[in-house]
Amino acid sequence: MKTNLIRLGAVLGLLLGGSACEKDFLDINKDPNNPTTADINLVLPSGQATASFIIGGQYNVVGEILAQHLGIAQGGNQYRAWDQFSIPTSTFDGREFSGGLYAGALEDFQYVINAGTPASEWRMVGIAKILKAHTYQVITDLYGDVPFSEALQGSANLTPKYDRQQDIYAGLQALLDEGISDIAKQQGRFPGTADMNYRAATEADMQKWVRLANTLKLRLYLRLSEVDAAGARAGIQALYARNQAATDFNFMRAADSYQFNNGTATNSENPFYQTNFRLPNNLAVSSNLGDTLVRYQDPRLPVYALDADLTTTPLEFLFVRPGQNAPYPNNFTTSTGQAAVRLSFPGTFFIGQAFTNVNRAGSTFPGITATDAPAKSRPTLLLTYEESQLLRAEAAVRGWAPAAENAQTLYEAGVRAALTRYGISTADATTYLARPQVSWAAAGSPAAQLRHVTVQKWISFFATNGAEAWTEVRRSNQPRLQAPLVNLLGGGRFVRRLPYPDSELQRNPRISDTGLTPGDVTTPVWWDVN
Amino acid sequence: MKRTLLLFGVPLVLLAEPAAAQSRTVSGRVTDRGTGQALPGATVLLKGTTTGASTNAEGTFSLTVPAEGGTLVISSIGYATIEQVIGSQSTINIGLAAGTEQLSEVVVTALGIERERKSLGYAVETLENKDITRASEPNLVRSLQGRVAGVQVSSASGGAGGATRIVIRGAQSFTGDNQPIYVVDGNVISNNAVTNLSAAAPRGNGDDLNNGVDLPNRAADIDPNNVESITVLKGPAAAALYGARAASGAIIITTKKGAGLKGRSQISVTSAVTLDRVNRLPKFQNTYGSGSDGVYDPQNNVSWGPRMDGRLVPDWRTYTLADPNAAVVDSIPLTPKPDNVRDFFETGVTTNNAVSFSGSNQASNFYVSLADVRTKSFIPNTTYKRTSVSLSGGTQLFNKLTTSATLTYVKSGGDRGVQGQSRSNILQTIYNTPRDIVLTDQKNYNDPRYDLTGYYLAGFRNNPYFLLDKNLLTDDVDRLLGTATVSYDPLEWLNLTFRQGVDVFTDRRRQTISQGTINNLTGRYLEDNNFGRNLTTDALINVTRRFGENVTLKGVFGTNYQEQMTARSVADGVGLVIPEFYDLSNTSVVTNTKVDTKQRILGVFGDVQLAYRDYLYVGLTGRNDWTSTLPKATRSFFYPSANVGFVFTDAFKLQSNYLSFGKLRANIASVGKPPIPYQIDPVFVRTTVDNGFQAQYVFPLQTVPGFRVGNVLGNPRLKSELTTAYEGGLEMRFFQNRLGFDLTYYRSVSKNIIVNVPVPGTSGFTAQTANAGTMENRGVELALNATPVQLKNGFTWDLNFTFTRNRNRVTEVTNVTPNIGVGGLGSVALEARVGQPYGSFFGTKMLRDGEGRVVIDPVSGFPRLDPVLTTLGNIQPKFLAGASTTLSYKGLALNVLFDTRQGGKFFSNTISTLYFAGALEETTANDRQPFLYPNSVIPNPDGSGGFVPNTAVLTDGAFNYWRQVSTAGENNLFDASFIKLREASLSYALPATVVSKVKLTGIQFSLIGRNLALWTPDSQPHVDPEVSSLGSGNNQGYEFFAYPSTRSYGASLRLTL
Repeated sequence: MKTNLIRLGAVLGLLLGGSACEKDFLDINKDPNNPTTADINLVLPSGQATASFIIGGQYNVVGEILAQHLGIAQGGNQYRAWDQFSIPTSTFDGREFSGGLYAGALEDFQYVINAGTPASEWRMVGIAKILKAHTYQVITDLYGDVPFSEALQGSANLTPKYDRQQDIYAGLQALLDEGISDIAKQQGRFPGTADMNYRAATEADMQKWVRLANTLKLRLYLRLSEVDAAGARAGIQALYARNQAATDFNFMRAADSYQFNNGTATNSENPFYQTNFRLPNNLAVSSNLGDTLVRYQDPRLPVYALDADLTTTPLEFLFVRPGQNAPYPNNFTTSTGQAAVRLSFPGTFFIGQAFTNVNRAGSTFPGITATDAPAKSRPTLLLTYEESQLLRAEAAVRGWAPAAENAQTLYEAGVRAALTRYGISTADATTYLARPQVSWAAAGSPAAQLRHVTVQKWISFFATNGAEAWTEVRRSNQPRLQAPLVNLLGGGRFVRRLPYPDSELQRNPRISDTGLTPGDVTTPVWWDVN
Repeated sequence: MKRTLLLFGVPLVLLAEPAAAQSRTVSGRVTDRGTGQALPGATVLLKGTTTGASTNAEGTFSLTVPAEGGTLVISSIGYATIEQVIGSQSTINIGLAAGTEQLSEVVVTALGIERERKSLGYAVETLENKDITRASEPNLVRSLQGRVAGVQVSSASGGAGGATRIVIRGAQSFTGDNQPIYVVDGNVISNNAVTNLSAAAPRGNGDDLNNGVDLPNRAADIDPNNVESITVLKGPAAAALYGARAASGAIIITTKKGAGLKGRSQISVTSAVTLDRVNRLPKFQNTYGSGSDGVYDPQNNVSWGPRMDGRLVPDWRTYTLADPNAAVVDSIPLTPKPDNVRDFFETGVTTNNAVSFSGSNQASNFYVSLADVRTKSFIPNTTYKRTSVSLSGGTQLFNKLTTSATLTYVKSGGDRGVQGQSRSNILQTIYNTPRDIVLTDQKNYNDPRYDLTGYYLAGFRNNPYFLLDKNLLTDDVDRLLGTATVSYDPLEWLNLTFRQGVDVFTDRRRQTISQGTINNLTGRYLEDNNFGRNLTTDALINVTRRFGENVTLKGVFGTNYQEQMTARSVADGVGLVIPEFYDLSNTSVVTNTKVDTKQRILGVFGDVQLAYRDYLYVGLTGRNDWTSTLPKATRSFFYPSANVGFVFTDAFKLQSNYLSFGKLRANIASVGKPPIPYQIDPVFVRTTVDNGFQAQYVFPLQTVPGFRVGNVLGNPRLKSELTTAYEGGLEMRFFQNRLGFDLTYYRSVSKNIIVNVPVPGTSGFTAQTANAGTMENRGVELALNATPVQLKNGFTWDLNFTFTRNRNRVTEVTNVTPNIGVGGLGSVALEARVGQPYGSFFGTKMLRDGEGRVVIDPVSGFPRLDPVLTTLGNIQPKFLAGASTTLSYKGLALNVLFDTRQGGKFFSNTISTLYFAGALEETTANDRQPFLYPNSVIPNPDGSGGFVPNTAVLTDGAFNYWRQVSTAGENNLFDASFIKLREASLSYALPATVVSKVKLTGIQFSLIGRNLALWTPDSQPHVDPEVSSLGSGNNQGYEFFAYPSTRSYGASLRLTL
C-alpha cells in the first residue's frame, strides 16, 4: 500500500512536470494585442493629436458659443443647453477633462518626459514639457484650480490635490523654461515626423519650439494683466531681456503658427469640421460676432458666414442671438422678398459643403466650394502667428515691452496675417485697417488701442480657437457679451468657468480644496477679476 | 460506465441477507411506461436478497419469493427503479418510467467521475436525452428552461441560432463571466460569445447595439440528439474539481456512446419538422395614421396623424416621385392596416433530422451519427443551419486497458439580419411603420416607389426588404470536438485514466452593407475571423478500497490542465468602389483589428469519499490551481470543500410503505475565479480619440503611428476572486417513490471580486484593476416529483415541479464609488451597487410628493423629473418555476411543460420608441386630447412650498406627452414576469407487435409544440420579456427591437431498428 502510494506520488509529480515547467506554461500573460512598452516617439504624436482634437473640437465648440461667435441653429439641439448657460457636471468628462486630457494627452506627455529623461532624449522631453504647459494652460483657464503638482503620478497618488491657479501659472512658466533649456542641450533624437506640430528634424526646427515656448510665456503673463499687473510686467520684461539679441525677440515667426495639421482622409479631418459634418446644422453665426463684422465691414464676413438663403447676391446674413430658443427668424424675408430658409451657418471654410447638400442641393452660392477638402484639412489653430503679433502689440501698448516693439506695427501685422489666412487681398486689408473701428490712428488712447487689439484677436479666433476666445473675453471683458435670451442660470449671470466633471467630484476628495460647490460655473477663475 | 456500476453492485450483494426458506412464485411483465413496450433484460430483485431474475424478450419474469411480505426492486438501465410491495399478488405487471429518479442512479460529477447519486453531499440534477429532445428544441441550452431548479436561462432574441445565457445560483462576479463551463465527455469546451463589431454606425463609435446581430455563444453547437444526459453541477462543492473556471457551476454533457446495447446493433432515425410563427408582437393602435400633430404626412414614420376614417390623403407610394408643382396628387383612403407588421413575418420552417448507428458487445461499443438542423427563419431571408457528424467508440484491449474516443465535427451558421438601435435595424423600421401603411407592398425595393430615392423614408430609413436582401451577416462555423481516453486497471482497486480533450473552431463572419444603406451610404464590407482552441488534459488516479465490513474509500487524485486561446482579426472596409462586389480590395479604407487571448490553468486535486455502510458519506476535496492570468506571487491558490450525505432512512431503517427514502446533505466549499488575461501590466494602446458625436482621430494619423498610455493601471498584486458557499439539502421520497422532493438551501459569498476601480483621471489613469467587491447569493431550490395516478392498466400521471429563488445582494463595491457599471442603455444604467441586487437599474424617476403623487409642472403640464437619480429596480427575478406533467397510457403520452419567471424588471426600448412613434394602443388614451393627470399634484401656487392636488393643469395627451414619458428612466422599465407554455408533445409509440412486422424495434410519432403560449402582466402586453438585445454577457435586461420570440409547432417521427 505504502509503496503504491509513493508510486502514485511519483506519477503525479511527473505529470505535473514540477515547477521547472511552470515558467514556460504560465508566463503567457503578456498582452499580445497591446504593447507593454512604446518608444517615446510613438507616444509624443498621440499626445499632440489628442490635445489638438479636444481643444480644437469640443472645447472649441463650447468656447465659440460662450465667446458668442456661434449660436444655435434652428433645429440644432446638440449644444442648445450650453448656449442657454446650462453646463452640467456630466459635460466634458471622460472624453475631455479626465480621459482625454489628463489620462490622455497629459499622461502621454508625462510618459515622454519620464521615459525620455533618463535616456537623455532632451529634444523630445523639451517638446513634451512645452506641450504639457500648453495643455495645462487651456485646462486651468477653463477650470481654474486643478490638479497640477501632484497630478499624473499614477498609483503613487491616485487622488492628487487641487493646486491654486496662481501656483499653476507659476509652475507653467517654470515648465516652459525647463522645456527651453532641455532643447538647448541639443541632445537626443529629433522627433521628425513623430512631431505632428512642427515635424522638427533639425536644430532650426527645434527653434520653432523655443519660439513657441516664449510666445506661450507671453500669453501666460498677459493673462495676469488684471490680477497681477506687476508680476506680469516683470515677467514680460525679463522675457524680452533674455531674448534681446534674438530676431523678433525669439517670438513666433510668420511661418511658425502652432497648429495641428489635419487631413482629408476619414477620421483625420479637422475635429470641428467632423463634428459639424456629422451633426449638421447645429451651429449658426452669433449676432454678437456677426453684427460686429457687419459694422466693421469686415472682409471676412462672407468667409465666416454663409448667406442665409444660400442664393446668389445680394448676400443676406441672419445671425442668431445668444440663448435664442424660438421663434427663429426663418420667417424673415430677404431683400428680394424670398423667404430666408436658414440662419447664417459658419462658412464652408469651416464646415464644408455638407449642409448645403442636404438643404439646398445645387445651390449656386458663390462661396461654396466644390469639395469639402479645404474644410477637412484646415489645421487646428492653437497659437497662431497673428495671435503672437497681437500679444506683442498688447505688451507694447501696456509699456511692458522694449521700445523696439512698435505697437501699431505689431497690431497691423497681426490683423494682416489674420486676414491673409482667409485669402483677403492686401488692398482689402489696407482698406480694412483704415476703417474707424479698426484703425490704430483712430484709436487714440491706450485703452482704445487695447480694445482694438482684443477685438481683432477675438475675431481672429472665430471657429478655430474658441477656448482662447472665451478665455480672453473673460479677462478683458472685450467685447461685451450679450445677455442670452434664455438664461438657465438666471439673474443676468454669465458662465465664468467650466464645472468640475463628475468623475473628479465622485472620486477625488481633494476637490474640496477648491471650496467650490459641485456644478459651480459662475465663480470667476483667479485671473478673472473684472 | 459499466465498470463503475459493477463496483457498486458488489458490496450490495455481499451485504445481502440469506433468502427465507418458505416460498411462492410471482410472475409478471415489465414494460416501458411511456410506450407500453416490453422491456427485455430488466432486473427483478427481491429486496434485501440476492434472489432475482431478468425479464425475457417479451418482458416477462418469474421469481421465487418468501411466502409472506417482500418487496420487488425492478430496474432497467435508463429507467427509474421501482420498488413494489408484493403483498398477496402473484402477478405483478410493472411499467417503468424512463426516469431521472433512480435509486442507485449514477451521475457524472466533475471530471467524468461517476458517483452514486445517493452518496453526494450536494445538489445535482440530471436530464436525459428524452427530456431535451422531446419537443425537438434545436438549442441544447434552451431545453434546460423550466426543468432544472437553480438555473436561469435567457435568450437574446427569438431569432434562430441566437445567444442563450445560463446563470446558476446567481452571479458571482461583477464584470467577469458569470456563466457555467460546459464540459462534454470530460472536455472543457468553449462557450465563447464574440459579439459583433459595430458596423452600422461609423467606426469606433457604439457597441453591439449599433450592429445588433444575434449570434450564438458556442454552446449552441452541441446537437441535443447526440446527448445521452446533461448533469448540472450548481454550487462550488459540485464544481470544485473543475477548478477555477467552474466557479459559476458546470454543465456536464455526456454524449451517446452506444454502450448498453448488449451485443445488439441499433439504427435510429429521428425526424422533426416545426413551423415557427411570430409569437408576441406589440399591441398596436389602429385609430390614427401617419403624420404629426393630427396632420397627415406621407413621409413620416410616426403615427401621430389624423384618424384613419377613410378620408382621402396623398398616396405615400407616389408622393416623393410626384412633381411638387403638380396640381393633382394620387390619393388613397386613410384606413388602418391592423396586421401590417404581422404580415411582414413569414412562417419559418425548422427541420431537425438525425440518424445514428450504434452497437456494443462485451468489449467494444461504437456510435456514429449524423444530425442536421436547418431553419428558414420567420424573418424573411434569414437562416440558420447546423450539421454535426459524430463518431465515438471504445474498446477493451488486453485485460486491463480500455481506450475510447469521441470525435464530433460541427458546421453551423446562417444568414442574419440586423437588430439593435441603428437606422438599418429591420425591426425598428417595421414597427415604426405608420399604422396605415402596408409593408408587404414594398417587397420589390427596385420599384421606383420603394427604392433608395423613392421610398417614403428615403434618406432616413431604408426599405426593410432592401436591408434583409442586401445587408446580411453570414457566420460560418467549423468546429471539431474530440476526446481520447486511456484507462488502465493495474489492480482491482486502482484505475489510472488519462484523457485529452480538444475543441477547435473557426467562426468566419462576413457582413455586407450595400451602397445606399443609411449611415453607410458608400457601402461597407467586414471580414471577421475568429479562431478558438481549448485543450483539456486530465490524468486521474482512481482508488476504491474497502476497510473492513463497513467503510469504503473512493479517491480520485490527479492533475487537470486547461488551455484556452482565441484569435480574432477583423478587417473593416468602408466605401465600396464597385457596388455589390464584396471584397476588401474593393473598399476605400480598411481598418484592421486583432484580438488574441491565451490562458492556462494547471490544477492538482484530490477527492476522497468515505462511505460508512451505504448511508453515511463524507467527501473532502482539495484543489490547487496555478493560473497564467495572475501575477507570479498570487498565481497559485488552494481551495477545499467538504460534504456529507446521510441517508437516514437506511441508517435508522425507516423505510415503510409511506417513507421510501430520506437523505440529508450538507457541504461547504470555496472556489477561486481568476481574472481574464492581461489585467496585470499596464499597456499602451493604439491611439484613437473621439468626441462621442462621431468625430474622431484614428492612428496611424496621416501615416504617423501613435500609441497612448493605456487608461487602466494594471495591478501586480491582483489575486483570484473567491466564492465560499454553504449548502444544505433534504431529499425525501414517499409512497414507494411516487412522491418525492429535493429541497436545497444555499448561501454563497463572493469576495475579492475583480473590478476596474474608477480613479480620478487627474492621476493620469481612469481606472485601476483591483480586488474590490463582495456579493452574496442565497437561495432555495425545490424539485418535486409525483406520480399521483398509476393504474394497473398502464395509465400513469407524472408531475414534476421545480422552483428557484435566488436572492442576490452586492455588499461592497470599492472604497471609491458605491457602484460599478455593468452595462446600460439610454437613460438607464445597469449597475452593481452596494445594498442592491446585482444588475440594478439606475436612472431618473418622475418627481413625486411625499404621498407618491406625480408632480405636474404647472406651466408645461408635463410630469416633472426628480433631479436625484435613483435605483429603479433590478433584473433579478423573485422566483423561477417550472411544471411539467406527463400522462401516459400504453404507447400514448402527453407531456406539457410550463415555466415562469416572476418579478424583476427589464428595459424595453421597443416600447418606449413605439410610444414616441404613437404606434401602441396606449397612445390613443384620452383620445390624444389634453387630460388631467390622475392623482397628480402641482407645487403650491402660493409659493409656500409643498404641493396641492392638481385639479386644473392639463397635460398634453399627444406626442409631446409620450415623448416626455420616455425621458424618465423608470418609464422605460417594465415587469419582466411571464408564464410560458414552453413545450407540449403528444406522442404515440406503436405496439411492439406492429413494429416488429416492419422489422423495426420502435416507431414513435409525436405532435410537438414549443413556446405555444406566453402570458405577461397587463402592464406589459407588448414584448417577450425573456429576450435581451445584448447577447449572453452580463449586460442583461435590455430589449431593443430584438426579434420577437416564436411559437413553433410540428411533428416528429422516431424509428429504431
